[in-house]
Amino acid sequence: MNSFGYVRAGSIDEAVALLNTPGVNSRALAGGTDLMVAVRAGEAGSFDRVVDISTIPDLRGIAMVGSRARIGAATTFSEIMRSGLIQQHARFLADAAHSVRTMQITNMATLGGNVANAAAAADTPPVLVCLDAEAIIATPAGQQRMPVASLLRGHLKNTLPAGGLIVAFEFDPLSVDTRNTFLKLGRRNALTISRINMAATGRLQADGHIAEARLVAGACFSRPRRAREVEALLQGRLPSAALFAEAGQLLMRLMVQEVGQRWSTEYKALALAAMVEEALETVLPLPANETETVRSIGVKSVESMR
Amino acid sequence: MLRHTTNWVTKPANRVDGPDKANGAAKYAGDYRVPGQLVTRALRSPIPHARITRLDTSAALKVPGVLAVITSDDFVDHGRFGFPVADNFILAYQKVRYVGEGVAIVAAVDADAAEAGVNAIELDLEQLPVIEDMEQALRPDAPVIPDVVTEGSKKGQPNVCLTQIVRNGDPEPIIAASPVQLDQTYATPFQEHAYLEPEAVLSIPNPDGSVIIYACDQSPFNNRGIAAAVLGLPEDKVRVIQAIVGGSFGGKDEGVYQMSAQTAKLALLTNRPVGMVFSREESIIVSYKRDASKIRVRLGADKDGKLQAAKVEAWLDGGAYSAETVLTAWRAAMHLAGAYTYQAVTGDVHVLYTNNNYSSAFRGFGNTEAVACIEQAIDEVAEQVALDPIDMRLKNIIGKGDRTMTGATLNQEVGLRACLEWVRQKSDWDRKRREFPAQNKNARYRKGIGVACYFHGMGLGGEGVDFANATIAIERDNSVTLTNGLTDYGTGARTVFTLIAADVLGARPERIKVLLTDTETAINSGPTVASRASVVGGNATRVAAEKIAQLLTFAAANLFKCAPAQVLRDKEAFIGPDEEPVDFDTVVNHARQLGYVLSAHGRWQLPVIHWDFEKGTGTPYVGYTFGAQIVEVTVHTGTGRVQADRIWAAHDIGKVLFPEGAYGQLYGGITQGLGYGLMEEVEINHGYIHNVNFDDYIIPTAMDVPPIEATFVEAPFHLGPYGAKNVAEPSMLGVAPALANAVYHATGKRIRELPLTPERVLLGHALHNDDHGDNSRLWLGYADGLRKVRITQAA
Repeated sequence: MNSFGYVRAGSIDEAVALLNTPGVNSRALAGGTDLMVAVRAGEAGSFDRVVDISTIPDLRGIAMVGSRARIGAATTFSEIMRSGLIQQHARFLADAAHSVRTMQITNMATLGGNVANAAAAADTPPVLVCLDAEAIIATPAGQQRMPVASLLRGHLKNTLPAGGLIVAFEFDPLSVDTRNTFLKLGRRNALTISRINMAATGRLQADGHIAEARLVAGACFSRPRRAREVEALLQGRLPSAALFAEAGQLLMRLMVQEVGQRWSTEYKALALAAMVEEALETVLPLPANETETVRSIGVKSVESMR
Repeated sequence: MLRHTTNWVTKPANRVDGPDKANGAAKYAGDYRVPGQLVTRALRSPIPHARITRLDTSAALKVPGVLAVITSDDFVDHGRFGFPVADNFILAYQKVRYVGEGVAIVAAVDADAAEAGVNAIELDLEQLPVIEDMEQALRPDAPVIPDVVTEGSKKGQPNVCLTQIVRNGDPEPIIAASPVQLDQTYATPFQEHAYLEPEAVLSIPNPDGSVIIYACDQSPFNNRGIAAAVLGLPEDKVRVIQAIVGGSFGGKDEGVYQMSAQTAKLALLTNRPVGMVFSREESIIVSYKRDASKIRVRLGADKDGKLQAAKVEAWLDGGAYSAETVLTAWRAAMHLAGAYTYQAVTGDVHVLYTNNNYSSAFRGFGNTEAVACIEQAIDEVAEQVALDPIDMRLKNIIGKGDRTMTGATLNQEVGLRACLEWVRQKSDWDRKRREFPAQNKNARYRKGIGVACYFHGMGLGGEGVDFANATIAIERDNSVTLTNGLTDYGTGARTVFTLIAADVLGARPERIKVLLTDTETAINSGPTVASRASVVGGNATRVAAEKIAQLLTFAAANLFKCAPAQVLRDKEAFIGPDEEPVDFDTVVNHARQLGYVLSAHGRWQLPVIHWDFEKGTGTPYVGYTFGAQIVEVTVHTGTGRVQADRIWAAHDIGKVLFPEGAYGQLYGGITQGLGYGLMEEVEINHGYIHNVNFDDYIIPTAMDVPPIEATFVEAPFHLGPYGAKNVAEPSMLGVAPALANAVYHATGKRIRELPLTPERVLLGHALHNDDHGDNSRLWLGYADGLRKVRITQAA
């Protein structure tokens, strides 16, 4: 294991300065739930020191700023799970954080860390992308904004500007008539890496047609992005099992197109299509005659988690 | 001295080792630190099968801080060991046969020096063809893995180590004539023990050339025997002390014996203490597993579902060394056709060599694999004759006086029927079996419920003489010390021994201390395996305690000036004819004044039985434990994900001596069975283990274990202390097949290959990540390219 130094930053400005000290290769350390694992496995590359940003007050907390919801980058998963504001305006983000299902991690892991680490199977990025969330990034040249979707470049690759530090995320709260869901498929119920995860929102018009649907699948594309092709298919249509099955088939084809045939594709393609159907049934309720008993496993249903 | 009421046994009690483990005071072998202690690093094989053409450690010895390097040359007969088949080595000799096999060990002052020492060793390996699975092992042109002459050698299949058989009549004509027949093949996976404590040992040299080994082993006496043999020392020059052990489940035999001999040799060479502690990855890559199996079951039954005959053949992937798989295979053979009566049964269990790590003991020891398969087959027959699975079992299970599948007559009380009836009633089985199939065929979530039952032979049976030794002494402060040659590696045996001694002596458990098993203070009792500690070790403790109790009764009678028979006991009090109670300490002190020596040795042995290994006939065990388990599941039909919703378990384990401990074993065993059924599978690709830590090798978390409703059926067993039997291994047996049967009930899909991963349930087959060993090599020290290991192709 490499040895390296440790320094704690007291403010965002100090953190940015420390991360950009010439001649010192520094890494930001928040909860450490990804970084320390990578260090032990020899996969973190070499660096001289960590800059601990976990106690910077301005990096933490969840609040409304004007009409936007704002989450500090060093806010932990546990704080997100407990936040009344998140429960009210973007419950599926709390669900994604909760899907880790072990307090040892949720008490330490941060939203900014989950995005910056950019693991393909990470659970909160699909939700942030589904929300069209923006990241606010501090750099030596000042603050800038980037959509979370464009921050994620691929597995363990982000597009953060050099020396940049994610400070916060902002998004428009979901309207009261928008339903949302987060689904996770893992090999067990806790401490499990997502084989597939999925964030979806949906809103119906008064006449029952689909006003808007958003769908983001994680862990099966090179990076999480809104499935605009599927969203377009759904737009303006009436919810039906047949439509959702078509949506599932479409996303399945898109996945194979993008990542090709892998050892796991035979399974993941089918499971992905099934999860699309399940997610859409949750956010775009079928007419009563088409409803079937849907009870979630792998992740507890949204209802039972509260 | 027979007591019909008990003061401590069978009553609520605390684990005697609980407080120390909870507050961190318990010392595991890796916790020991002694002055001058050296650390070790190993050079391990990066490939599954190769000839060692050159091994030069001279450069390593020149690395600053390195004090010694050992190879197979440092041991008697190149460190060859293994029982019953001596095909294994303390360090690889001439060949390496699996990835991670130890080739050389470096002892140094610190880890960096040891690592530099390993990097200086020059090793040339000439690659040999790799046997990746059992089919390849059986091919006529397969490269031969072992360097011993095997049973299979005579039949042109040298990679068949041996075949264990059962011959109870001739089933073939009966099956052929049966109106209902089944012929199906099932498969079970390699399973990792996943003990909390990775392996650790510490060897300390003595000035007289002897050595003390602290080890996390299961069986210190076996460890001593092997170490003494390969070190070329008499056994009294090797002292093995079992440290507190953090779980074993069968997993801390051969591998820990290798580590013990390696560190002992290094300690003797350097005259310094030498420690060795595995990382989790090293533990998973290097240690043995539960064998993977394929089992072909042929059954014949009449139209009403009465079983007639069974012909079962099993192949166990024993990996590179036979280890205990030879005995695992025997136990598998004794249980292949399940807890049912038949007119005729034959069983054949073949142990095969491959380059897949190696296999040895693991909870259930062959019966886990057997139950997993036969209990699915029984459900398949039940369906053919349209019988409810529990009715099918009730129609066919063995009872007192019946002949078991091996042909031996069952001469004991049998609680199996009561177990089946209890789980049936508690689970609301009949309603659920009726209603679940009426679920919407297209439902995304479908429920199912399945059952399995089992019998499990007690103790070593035909594997060997089944005895134990215990000692007991009342110390100067009137505390009581116990030793037992059978050990407690987390099972609760120490508490059972304490309660039995307390009960027999009439001494509060708080007075009693069970010493760590030390080969110099305890008496050899054979291996601590086969869930035999409570019965055999417990009886030895009882015998020893009865001797002291008798002396105390004599002392009390002397004090009271009455006949011994007039002395009554109430917990610690002795009561004479004048009805004035006298306390334990007074009687003990009086006994000393009388000159009584208050220490005793108890030995106890199960009745000798005979099994003829050549003929496949005889009496395999003195008795059996029984049980039935039901699992209710929800299956996600879109993803194949299976969730266990609830488990019911009823086990006939005889008299329950330590209820909290027994339930603890039961819940733990059920959880391990749940992992075996649903998710646990050591994935070995081209000889490389892919899942080398608990991020990839997954076991159930607390969030995966459903509510468990359990009971014990206490059918008395005349040989057990207070009528007790055993629970440790049997507890896990029924879960996996009950899961498979429940998934079938939910989905109509019969998945004959465990575990029931989402892929198998959705697609009907597994998918394999084609990992070529990067994961293993990384953790074996090959990531940075500094090892001087040259690999060449055979000419």
